[in-house]
Amino acid sequence: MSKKKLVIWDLDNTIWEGILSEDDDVILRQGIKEIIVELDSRGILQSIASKNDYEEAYIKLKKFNIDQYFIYSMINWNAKSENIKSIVSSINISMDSVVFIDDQQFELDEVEYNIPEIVCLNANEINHILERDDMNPTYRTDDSKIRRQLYQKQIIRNKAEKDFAGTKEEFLKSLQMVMKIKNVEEEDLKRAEELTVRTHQLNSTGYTYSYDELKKFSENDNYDLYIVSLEDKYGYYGKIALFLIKKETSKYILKLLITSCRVMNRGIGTVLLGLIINKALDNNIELYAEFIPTKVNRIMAITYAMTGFHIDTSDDEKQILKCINSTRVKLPNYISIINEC
Amino acid sequence: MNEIKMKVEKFIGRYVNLEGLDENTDIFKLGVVNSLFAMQLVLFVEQEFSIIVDNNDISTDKFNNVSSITNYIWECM
Repeated sequence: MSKKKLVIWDLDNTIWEGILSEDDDVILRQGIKEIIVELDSRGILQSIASKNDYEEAYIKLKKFNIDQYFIYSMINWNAKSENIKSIVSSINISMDSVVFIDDQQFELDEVEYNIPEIVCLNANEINHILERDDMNPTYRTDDSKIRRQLYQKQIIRNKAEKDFAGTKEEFLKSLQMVMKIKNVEEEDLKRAEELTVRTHQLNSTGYTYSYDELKKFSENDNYDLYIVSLEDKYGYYGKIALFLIKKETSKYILKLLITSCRVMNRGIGTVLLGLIINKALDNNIELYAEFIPTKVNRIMAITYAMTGFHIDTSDDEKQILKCINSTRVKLPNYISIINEC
Repeated sequence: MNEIKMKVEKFIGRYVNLEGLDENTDIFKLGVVNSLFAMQLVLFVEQEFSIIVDNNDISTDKFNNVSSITNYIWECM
């Protein structure tokens, strides 16, 4: 069973006792705040799908001092399945990593019927929710502890981007991004493993690596394993990319490139490929990359193709791409790079 | 073909300031575009012109400027 990344809550008779539209004196369900805070610290995101008046509901959430724990809440009178689809699409994760909690069987049935992959829980079962295996992430990293805040910063960025009058290029410049590339060290290994496990769309091979495998790569002189963090004027994005290079005498093989979905439109994959290409050119070494097409990583295939990789050989299992660039890649001027690679 | 070109220019213009650039300017060498743009460009070509772009067709020489993208679409249609 896949580990859960998001819990979507109903409000009436779920987070609080009573029905807000009928009775303004609703009280918080016993023990609920502890559950919400604990899920948050585990790096599980939370949102709300409730049939209520948005303003009224938020006044109550603020009063209970739990409003800050929810992102992309959909509080309106639409079908819950539609609202859930909208929340999940904003966060950009797959439905089978989502749990929906409601007290009304009718709502649970509606959601389950329209979104079969989701896990529906009745509100009367939530006292055991923290013990569920799928609610206990394999990883608790510095990044996962602040995951919700990272998403909240992202919401601010997205709004700034929407309101920005110029081109995307000008917007990217306005962010003043600083990207840092460094060797994976002991302290990064958990996050490195988490990135391979959580990332599907922006994963060049679909491989996942265990902690121990990554540790071995990081200690092996024939391999270079790098982790990338990103910051901009709105704050820290976290460690958002990982790549692995196998060094042979006359060639480099890029075995893996992963970037987090949160930075999908920041050009990180393109910049990293550019840096790797330039490094190979500077050392006069041929550059190859392993690529395994999956159902969801087409965007990676396109990124490789557009930075100058062509298919060299391919079999049923994987493609070997070869970089045919003969001149250095011009890196974008909208991002400062601190490169320790 | 002119109509295709105009649609392509309009789409790319949302991402890159095309003023002062001509149809042969390599948009990927400007260093301003990214994976998402590349993906959106391919999806735009597919959806706007009802063609299917094979991943193996995607290369810098076919998709790097307004002129080559227009030609590619023209040939596929």
